[in-house]
Amino acid sequence: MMWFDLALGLGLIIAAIGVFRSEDLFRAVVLFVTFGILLALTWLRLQAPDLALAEAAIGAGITGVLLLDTLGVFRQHEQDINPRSSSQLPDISRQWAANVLALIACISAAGLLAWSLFNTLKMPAPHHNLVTVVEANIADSGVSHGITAVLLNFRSYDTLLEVAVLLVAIVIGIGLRERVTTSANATSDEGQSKLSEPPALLTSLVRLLLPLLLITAIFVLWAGSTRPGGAFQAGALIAAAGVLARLGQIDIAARVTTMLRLGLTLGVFIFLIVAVSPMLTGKPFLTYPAGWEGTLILLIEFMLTISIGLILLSLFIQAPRPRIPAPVRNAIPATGPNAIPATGPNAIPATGRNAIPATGPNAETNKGGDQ
Amino acid sequence: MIPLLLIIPLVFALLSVLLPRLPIKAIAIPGLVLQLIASIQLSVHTYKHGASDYALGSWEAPLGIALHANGFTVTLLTLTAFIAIVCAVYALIYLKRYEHEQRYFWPLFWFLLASLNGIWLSGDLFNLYVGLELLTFSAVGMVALTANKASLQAAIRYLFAALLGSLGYLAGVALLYGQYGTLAIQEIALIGTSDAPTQVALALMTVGLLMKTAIFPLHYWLPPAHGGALAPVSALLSALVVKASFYILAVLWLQLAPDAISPAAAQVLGALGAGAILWGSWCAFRQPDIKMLVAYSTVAQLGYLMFVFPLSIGTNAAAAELAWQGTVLHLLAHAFAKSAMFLSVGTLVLAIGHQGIKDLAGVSHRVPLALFAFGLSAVSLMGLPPSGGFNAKWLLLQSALSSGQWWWFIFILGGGLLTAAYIFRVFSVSFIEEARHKFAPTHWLLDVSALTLAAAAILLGFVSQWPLTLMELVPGVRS
Amino acid sequence: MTLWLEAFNTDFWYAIVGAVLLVLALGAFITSRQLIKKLLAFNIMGSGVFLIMVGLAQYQHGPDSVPQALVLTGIVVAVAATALALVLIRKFVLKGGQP
Repeated sequence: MMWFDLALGLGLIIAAIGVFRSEDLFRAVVLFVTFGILLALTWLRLQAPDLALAEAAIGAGITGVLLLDTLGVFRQHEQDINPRSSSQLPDISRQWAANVLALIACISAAGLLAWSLFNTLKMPAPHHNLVTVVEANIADSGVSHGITAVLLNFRSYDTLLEVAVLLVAIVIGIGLRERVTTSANATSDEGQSKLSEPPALLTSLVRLLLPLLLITAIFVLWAGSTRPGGAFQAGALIAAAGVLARLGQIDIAARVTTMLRLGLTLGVFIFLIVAVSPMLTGKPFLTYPAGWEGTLILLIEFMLTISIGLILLSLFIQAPRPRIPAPVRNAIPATGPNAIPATGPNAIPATGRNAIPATGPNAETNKGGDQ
Repeated sequence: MIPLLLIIPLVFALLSVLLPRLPIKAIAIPGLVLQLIASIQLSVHTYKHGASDYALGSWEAPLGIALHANGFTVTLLTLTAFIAIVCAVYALIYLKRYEHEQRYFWPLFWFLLASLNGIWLSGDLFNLYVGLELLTFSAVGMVALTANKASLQAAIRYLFAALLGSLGYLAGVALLYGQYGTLAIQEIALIGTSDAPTQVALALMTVGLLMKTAIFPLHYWLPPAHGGALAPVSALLSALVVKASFYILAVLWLQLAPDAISPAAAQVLGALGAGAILWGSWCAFRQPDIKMLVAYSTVAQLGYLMFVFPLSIGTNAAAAELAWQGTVLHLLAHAFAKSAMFLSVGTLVLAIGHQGIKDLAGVSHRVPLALFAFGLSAVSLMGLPPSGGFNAKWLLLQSALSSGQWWWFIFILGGGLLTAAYIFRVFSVSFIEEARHKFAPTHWLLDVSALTLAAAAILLGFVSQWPLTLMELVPGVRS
Repeated sequence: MTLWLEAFNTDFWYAIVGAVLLVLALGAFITSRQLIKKLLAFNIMGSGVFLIMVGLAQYQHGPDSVPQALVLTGIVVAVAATALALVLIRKFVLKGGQP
């Protein structure tokens, strides 16, 4: 063990403590991204370059972008609604109870984990050893890189469900953003703020970076069958390219069209078709026909990359945003005769176009939350 | 045959994301019928030929992921398919008023079913984690559907609690993989020992799963989520979703590593169950809102599930078998009764336009069928004969006697009385002649679906032998 | 004690770091009042679990692609969870909730 590992491990812990202790959310997020970069280094030390790539692109990259964007939205929203809002007095007794609870939880978790890890050191090697099993079977998997073989062949069912998880996230994201309104032209730009004109330098930088990112994504995808890389990392790069394009005012995936839906589901669809088709010949679900493993895995990975990239990008673009201050039109107060509290049909106006009357005189929302 | 139960909901989920609104609704019922047929077929197959394994991708465990169908899993699969189809009929009518929401209800509904079927069938620890996450996400999305402030807050709270629970579970999986080098449940069951890492792993996983099952005192997230959601969503959540994490907990304790569990730990879980019954019933008794009352009733009823651990661990074989049978029956009876109750309450609220218990005055005249469905499901929840709930409690009581644990006897009986107390609050108001509000007419199919489920809860009292016969095909749980 | 030191290696060290992160993040998760801080704590807790998963599995066998693949899945699920939570939180705040 080297001093470097000692320092890196401690660095991770210090960065984490920094995240927890910082009062300012922006600072906390910046420290969190730093933590992600340190973690990517750690994965390299653990001889897991795939994870290093994934952590840097997804863990630190995409997550960081989403978090920073959210803070920006909060700031804008605060200015719109109520310049000096919030900061209610903390509920002292509640906070105190949480602290005690946290202390008990931490001590028990620490005790349990320490006891477990200490005992592990005294034990012989585990009964099973999947390392050798993977090595023995990798020749039949169609790819030569272990992780890709596990993800897309040996345990491809996990991957199928995992992409379904991503899909559920974006379905909810779209569902919470889009609102049906009566006027046809209103749907497209609801809840979407136009970015201000970007500086020329940024635009040209984006133009330069875009093709570079896309090429890298394709390389990472292709590399996945023989060395570190694969659909998820490549998908994250595609998403990053999309976020950049967005900053440079290139409008992609901004509208929920049938094409976008098709793109989002494409990966799972192709995956399912490939997985089901061998059942017609009596083979189990998710079996690849002999000799076709490599080709089919590449096909699935390619489709998955497109879908994952689009999903991650849409999670960024479709996330709810405050509307640019616009004249509030005919704000109907949501007090119908038989209003079931905010779930009935009469509640729909309250969640529709006029939901967040950012500058409206009858802003229903600036009372500060509960808690 | 086994993978069909994964493929059908996944394919329909994808179609529901892609298609416009009308075809989505049109394909829902045919798809659910397909799923019901597939699960009944699998049940018959299991009844005839016993438990079966299925190696996904032709890779045997531990390298690949194995699906496993036994008597318990096929019972749960059929239960899921049945409740899903009734809730779908209800939702088709009920959601007409929610133009926007229903566009997103159906994809989430299908993903929810896919994850439930995946969890019942999975024989792999990590795959269960991914299944749990898929389940959580779809359930949270359904809670957030109406996107008002309260439902969003409930959804966030639910999501955070569930994520914390998943991480507890995943930490346990990490320790178990480090210890045994495999993720296949059946493999670990063969070689499992009672050393420190195994016990710590089980402890972490247990806490995580208790959180996801909303067992007292980790239930705080459940009432706002289940009580605030749309009626068909509440029904699905209370009937099926919380049972998924309980199912995993039962598999861990009774199948994965029975040796690593001490009777004292089992008593602790039983005590949490008793606490759930007392606290849940007390809160239900004090709720002014009918939907919240039903949600707290779920907190209380989940407590009974915990009794399986003290009654079957460290006791005699007869008591263990009775406890197991009683628990399975309770799970089924509660699933039927609680979904029926949420659906009938949904209809009542729809008719009155308010959800306070005081507002229910006059419903016995104007919405009699929905109230009747509510009453039938209450019979099962209270454990009155004849009902599935009665048989379940009867078996649990016998198990408590047989194992000489009289203290659980008190809670099992007392829980029924407490249930009666909060249920009669509803009845005492609903038979008042004078209505406080105007009543809106409701669609007859809403009543039919609630009645179907309530009738199932009662009928289960007559056909309890069916699931119990299937249950005998479960290896390893009859200690 | 010597046995203890012999068995101790890089992989095991990072498993310990993972355990420490897990415990600290658990405390932060419970005590934070801001939703975003809770979300950050959740992410760090997840990273802690991932480190335990890979470190513990590898400390006797060397590089093992199975737990690495599992963690890759875990990272993607975690980012999906984060994105979903952010969507909900943003909508909640826009409706007047406290972040």
